[in-house]
Amino acid sequence: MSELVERAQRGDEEAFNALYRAHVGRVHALCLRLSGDAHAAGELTQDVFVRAWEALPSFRGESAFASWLFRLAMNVFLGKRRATGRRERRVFSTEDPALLEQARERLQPGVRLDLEQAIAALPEGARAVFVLHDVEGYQHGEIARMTGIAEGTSKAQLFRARRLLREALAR
Amino acid sequence: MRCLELRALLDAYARGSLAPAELAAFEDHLATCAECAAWLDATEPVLEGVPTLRRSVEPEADLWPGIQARLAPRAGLGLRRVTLPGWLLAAAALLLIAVSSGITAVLVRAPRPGTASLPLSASTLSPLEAQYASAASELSAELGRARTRLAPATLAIIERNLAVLDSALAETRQALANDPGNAALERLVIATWQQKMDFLRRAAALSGAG
Repeated sequence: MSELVERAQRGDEEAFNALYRAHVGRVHALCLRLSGDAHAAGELTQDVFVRAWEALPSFRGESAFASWLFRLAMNVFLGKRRATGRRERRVFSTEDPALLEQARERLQPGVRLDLEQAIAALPEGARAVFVLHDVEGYQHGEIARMTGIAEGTSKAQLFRARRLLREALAR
Repeated sequence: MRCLELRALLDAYARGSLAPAELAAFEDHLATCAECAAWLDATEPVLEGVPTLRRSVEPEADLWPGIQARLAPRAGLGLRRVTLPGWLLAAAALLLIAVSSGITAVLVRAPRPGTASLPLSASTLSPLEAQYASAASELSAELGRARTRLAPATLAIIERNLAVLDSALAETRQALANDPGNAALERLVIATWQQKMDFLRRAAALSGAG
């Protein structure tokens, strides 16, 4: 286990700050893609590091700190998503693909939709599976266990995400 | 659903226009048909741009001040070994009742699977575990002093059960360490502590400790 992690486990905020600086970009990228919203991603990233501080005593160094933190970030996101519920989700996180077009206009009027924007505009379930599978490299079985969906749903959502992205980018 | 039917429904699925029953049949079929899953993957392969996506994206503003403001002094998980007189067991039992009641309330409030579920935050978990560990330590010590009053067979049963509970506790804490922030595992850790404390309390009463 690294010295920084050990110091942070003992309550050293300076060491934890160094860990934050080293890992914030990676965590924020994940939060940004999972949430599809810059403001929400900032809040989520803060929550992840606060929870990491709280959970550090349970970290035993059996996996890399980065992997542990990444897994924690996903759990924080999934926990928040379950707690928030559908009614509070962003408007273009609905199942209506016509909203992809609205999202495109809202994000960059008159500008071709790039891949990041198109990912942000995906329906939430499809976006989460796409980010975890295609961007982060998780298998459908792992995604199913983490998110609580069936493996078939994960495969179907991935197909849907790719199809919607391809259509959005071709416009 | 058969393979051909699934393939005929692809566009409707992508647009989210399948009826709930069709949607369920579509996803159920995919879960069991490797051929369709592979076909689907080939139909919509990975997008070209994905490997070029940045793995690291710095936040626009520095988030550290907001994080630092929320960092509570960490409650230690270490056991506080305090030598206390005979009234200790009663005090520990009272603590147990208080903590157990709190935890029971948390567990009772925990939503059923499939409904919205708020994670039991680590800031709540760690202090509770520390209280459990402290109370368990004192009860164990008291039980140890009273062991001569127990029949060997009874003592063996108690020790065997405690070993099972400790093993379960180690296993759930390990699972939580591997999957940090998993709310279900956090609740399981606490539930296991609760079982251990209930058992210790019964064993202590049986031995006439205190």
